[in-house]
Amino acid sequence: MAWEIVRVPDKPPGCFQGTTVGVVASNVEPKLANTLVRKLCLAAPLENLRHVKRVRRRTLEAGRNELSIILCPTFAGENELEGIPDDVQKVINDYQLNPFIAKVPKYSASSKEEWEDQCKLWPTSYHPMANVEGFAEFTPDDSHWIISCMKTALNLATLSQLGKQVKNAAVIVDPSSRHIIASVVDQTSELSGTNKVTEAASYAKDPETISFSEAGENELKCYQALFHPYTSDEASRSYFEVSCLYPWRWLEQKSHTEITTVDNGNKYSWHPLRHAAIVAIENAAARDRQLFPNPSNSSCSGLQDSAINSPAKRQKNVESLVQEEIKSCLLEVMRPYLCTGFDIYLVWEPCAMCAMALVHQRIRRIFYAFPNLNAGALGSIHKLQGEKSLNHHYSVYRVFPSTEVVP
Amino acid sequence: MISATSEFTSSDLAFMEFALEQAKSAMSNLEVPVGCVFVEDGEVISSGSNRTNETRNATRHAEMEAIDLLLERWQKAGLSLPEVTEKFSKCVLYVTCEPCIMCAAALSILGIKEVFYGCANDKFGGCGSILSLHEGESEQPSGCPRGRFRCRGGLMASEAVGLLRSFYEHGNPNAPKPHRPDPSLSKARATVPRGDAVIAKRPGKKDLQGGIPTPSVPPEEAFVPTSQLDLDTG
Ligand SMILES: [Zn+2]
Ligand SMILES: [Zn+2]
Repeated sequence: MAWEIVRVPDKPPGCFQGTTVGVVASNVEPKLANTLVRKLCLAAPLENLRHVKRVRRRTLEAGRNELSIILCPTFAGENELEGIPDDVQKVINDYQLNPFIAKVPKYSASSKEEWEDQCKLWPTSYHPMANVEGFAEFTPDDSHWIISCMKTALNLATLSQLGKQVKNAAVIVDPSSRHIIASVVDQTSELSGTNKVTEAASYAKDPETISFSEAGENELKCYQALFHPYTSDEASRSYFEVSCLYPWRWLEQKSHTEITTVDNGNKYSWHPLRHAAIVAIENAAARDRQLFPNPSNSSCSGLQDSAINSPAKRQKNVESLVQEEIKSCLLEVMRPYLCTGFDIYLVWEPCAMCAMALVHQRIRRIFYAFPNLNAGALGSIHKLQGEKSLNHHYSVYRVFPSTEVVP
Repeated sequence: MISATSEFTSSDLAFMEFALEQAKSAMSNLEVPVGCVFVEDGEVISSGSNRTNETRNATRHAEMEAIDLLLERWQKAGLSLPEVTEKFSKCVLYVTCEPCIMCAAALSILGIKEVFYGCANDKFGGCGSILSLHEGESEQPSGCPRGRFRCRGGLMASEAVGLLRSFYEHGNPNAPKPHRPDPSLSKARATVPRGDAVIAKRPGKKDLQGGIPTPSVPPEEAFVPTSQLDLDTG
C-alpha cells in the first residue's frame, strides 16, 4: 500500500459554500483607485478577508467600467454602516464617496468552480494548492521527496527508540534546494542518549542522503514498533517521553532525581520545554546566524516611496508595481527571513507551544505522521492553522505511512 | 468604571514596573519592547526581554528567556526535578503583554502559579484572547487538570502599550525583509490590487498588517487593547 499525503483542513468542511460577509464599499473614479487602495490598506487592512480583492471592476452596458473598492469591514453588524473608523471616514469625506454595504465571500474558495462562483459576487484570489481538501495535489516527484523527508523523521524517532524511550523527531528542510536545515529529537529529558542521534543527523546533509533505496521490510518493522497504537499501559508508557504527547508529565516524574552537575557543554541536562520543534527552530536560527553573520540592511526597493516620488510610476496600476517589487526581491540574493519557505516534518502532531512556535518562525508547511489526541494543536485539540487572527498561516498535511506500518 | 489599576497591590505595581524596565531595555536593543520578571516569595528571581531579532529566533520571547535562566541556574545548583517543579509552582510571572499562545502553553507546562500581564494580545494571546491555555490540560477524567494557572490582565497596560506604540511608530530598523519570496506567496501578491501586501513589504516596518494604529481606544475598555499592534513577539 502506498503512502498518502493528506491535507489537514483548517476549517470544518463544507462551511464556506456560498457564505458571505458584509463589507463597506464604494464606487470610485478609476483614476483615484491607486491612491485610495494605498490609503485604505493602511487605514483598514482586510485582515480576515485575505482572499478578497480590494477592488472590483465590472463592465456595464455601453462598455462603461464600474470600479468598486472595499473601504473597510463592517463593524457594527453585517448590514450596518455604523462604526466606520475615523481614518476611513476621512477618506470618504475627502473624496466624497458614497459608502454602501457589499457582500463578499467569507472564505477562500475550495475549488475552481467555487472560485468562479465567488468572482461573480466579488473577485477573490484562488490558490489550488492552498485549498485542496482531502488528497493534496503534489507531483509524483514532490510526493516522493515529501515521503523521503518523513522517513528521515521516522528514522530519527526509531533511532532514539534504541535508547528505550520513543521521542518525537523534527526535520526542517528547504524544499527549494532540498537541503536539511535541522534535524533533532526531543531534548526534554537527559541529553546523554540523544546527543549521538542529533549529531549524526545534524546540519545540511547532502540531498542524496534523503533517498531511501534500501527501505524494505526492516524499515517498516521499525516504524511499526514505533507506532503501536495506544493499546496497553505497557505500550503507552513508552510514549511518555514524546514531549508533545505528554507535555505535563514531567511534573509527576519522580525518577532521575539526582541530577549530576552539568559539564557536557549543554546548559541543561533536562528541560521540559525543549520539544523537538523548539530545538529544530533553535538550530535553524543558529545556522542562519552562522551562514549569514551580518544583519542584512538592504532589501526590496521601497515600493511605497517610488510610487509616491515618481510621477511616471504613479500612473502605473498597483499590479505592475507589485510585479516590479517581486522581481527586485528575486534579484537580491539574501538570507532567508526566519524559516520562510521552509517545511518541517514531525512524527507526531505538535502541541500548542510547538505549533505556535512554528507560526512565529514562519514555517511554510507542516507534515506530521501521527495525530496527538492528548494535546495536538493542528487538528486534534486546537486548530491553530485555522486561527484567522494569527499573522502567518502554514498549511498542514498528514503523511500516512503505508498500511503495513499503521494497521 | 473602576480603574483597572485599583485591584492591584503596590507590590504588583512594583514588579510590573520592573518588567517594564526589561521591556525598555529590549527597545534600546531594537527589539520589540516586551519584558517580564518571575517572582518567588515576593522576590524577583529572574527577568527577561525579547531577543527575537538578535537571535533570529522568533520564539525567544521575554518569558522564554526568563524561564531558561531559571532552569539553568537551578540545575547548576543541583536541584532535583521535583524540587524544580515545586519551585515553579510557587512562581508568579509579571509580563508587560499577555503571553502569546506559545508562552502561555509553556507556562502551563511548567505549572506556574499565577500570571499578571499588562496589555492584552488580541492577535496571539494564549491567556484568553485567542486561546485559553491558562485553563490547563483539556478534560481530565481524574478531575483537576494539570497546568492551570491564575491570570489577570490590565496591570499598567497603558505603559506597556505606550512602549509598543512608540516602537512601531518609529519603525523597527531590524525589520524583516522578505528575502525569499515564497513562490506561492508571490503568486498571491501578483494578483493584488489589494495593496496591503505592498505596504506590508515597505522596508523598516515590521509586518504592518495592522497598520500603524492611530490611537483610537474605546473608552469603555478597562485596558488598552492592542488589536492594532502586531504583537508577534508578545
Ligand atoms: Zn510540543
Ligand atoms: Zn510569547
